[in-house]
Amino acid sequence: MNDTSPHDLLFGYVLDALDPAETELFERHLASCESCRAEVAMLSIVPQALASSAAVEPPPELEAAVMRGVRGVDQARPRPRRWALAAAAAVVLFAVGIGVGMALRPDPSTQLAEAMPVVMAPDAQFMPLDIQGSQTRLVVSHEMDAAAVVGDDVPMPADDGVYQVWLVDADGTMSPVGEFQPTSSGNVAMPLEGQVSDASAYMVTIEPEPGAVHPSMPPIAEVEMAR
Amino acid sequence: MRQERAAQDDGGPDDDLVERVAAGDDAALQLLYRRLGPPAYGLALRVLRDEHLAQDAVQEAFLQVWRDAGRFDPGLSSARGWVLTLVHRRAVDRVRREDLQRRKAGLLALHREEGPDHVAEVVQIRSEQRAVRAAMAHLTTIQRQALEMAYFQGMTQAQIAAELDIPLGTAKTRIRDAVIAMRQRLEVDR
Repeated sequence: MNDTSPHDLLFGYVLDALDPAETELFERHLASCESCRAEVAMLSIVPQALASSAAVEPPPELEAAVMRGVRGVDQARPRPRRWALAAAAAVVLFAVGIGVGMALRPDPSTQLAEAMPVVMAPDAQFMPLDIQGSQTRLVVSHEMDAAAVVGDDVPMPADDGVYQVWLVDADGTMSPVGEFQPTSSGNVAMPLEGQVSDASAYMVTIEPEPGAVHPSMPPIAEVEMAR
Repeated sequence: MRQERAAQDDGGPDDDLVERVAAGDDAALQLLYRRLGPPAYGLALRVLRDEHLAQDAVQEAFLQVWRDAGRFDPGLSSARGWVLTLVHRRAVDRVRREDLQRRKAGLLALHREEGPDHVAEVVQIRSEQRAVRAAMAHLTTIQRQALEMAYFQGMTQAQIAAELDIPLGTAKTRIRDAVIAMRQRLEVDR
């Protein structure tokens, strides 16, 4: 019998006491489960303390070996983080032209201008929003009580649909708070309506038509708000 | 000049160093190594019980720090925690490839280590180390054993269950209780 409930693996994960398949399973779950992320973060001082308690002065030659080891080695492309997201947003800005900021409401540069303060807020949290394997983030600022969706590798929604973001309140009522399609290069910088303090979760569906009032499709991504 | 900068260590928080490493700054990696070398090496040595294997694990882990610094997720752990996790995983991967014989030898060594002092090679005993020992001292023997086997001997939950001849669920419960108890103690002793 093999128990594979991801949450069941959390404590083993914290101590690296899972086998590779379990680790992969849990990490996939972790990417989308905000409460597990919070719990792993909270418990991370335990392995850190254990490691620190084992400290031993390394042999002096190890430093040179470490530095030699990285010479000429390529680095991985970073996942979107604050500066990377800001850069991605800037790309959208230049692509659409700053001068059209006065245009109609759905204009991308207007959206961007509204999303940027949330992205740059000192307390901004970047939560993974697993839209079809992309590195999209839900950005939340509790101080501003506002949220936005940003990403630079968002695939076009299937069947000419639109992505619709829903705010789920404490009673489970879902309200539409924004819809978007990525630019041709996959960029999204999109402010959300509504207040973060009302949200127990955010969900994303792909709706066949813009302007949906109720979700007609099952969610493709979800982020729970920590209480 | 790079050497001078490293010697003074004006690198700011660990997180900033990781960000600089992500941008290809090898002086930042050197600073990070100088800060985290002792826990990284000590941890690898504790798990692997072999100086050469421990050095390899640290070197491989810092190579991974270099490669993946851009993917460090500050939402999940501190930069220090992230680096030490990479070291730990390297060491654990390695030790799991070793045979059961060695693991049994490790278990015997564990009992000897519970004596007053096995830390002749520890150069500095910081207050943090004392705090961790104090926290460990408050755990039950079973909880300490779970932490030792899981974290310092690199055993999976399933291996621990098999080794102790207990159900997997029991092993998971012990690990959970040990982590929670340790976390609470660390909080209290802070």
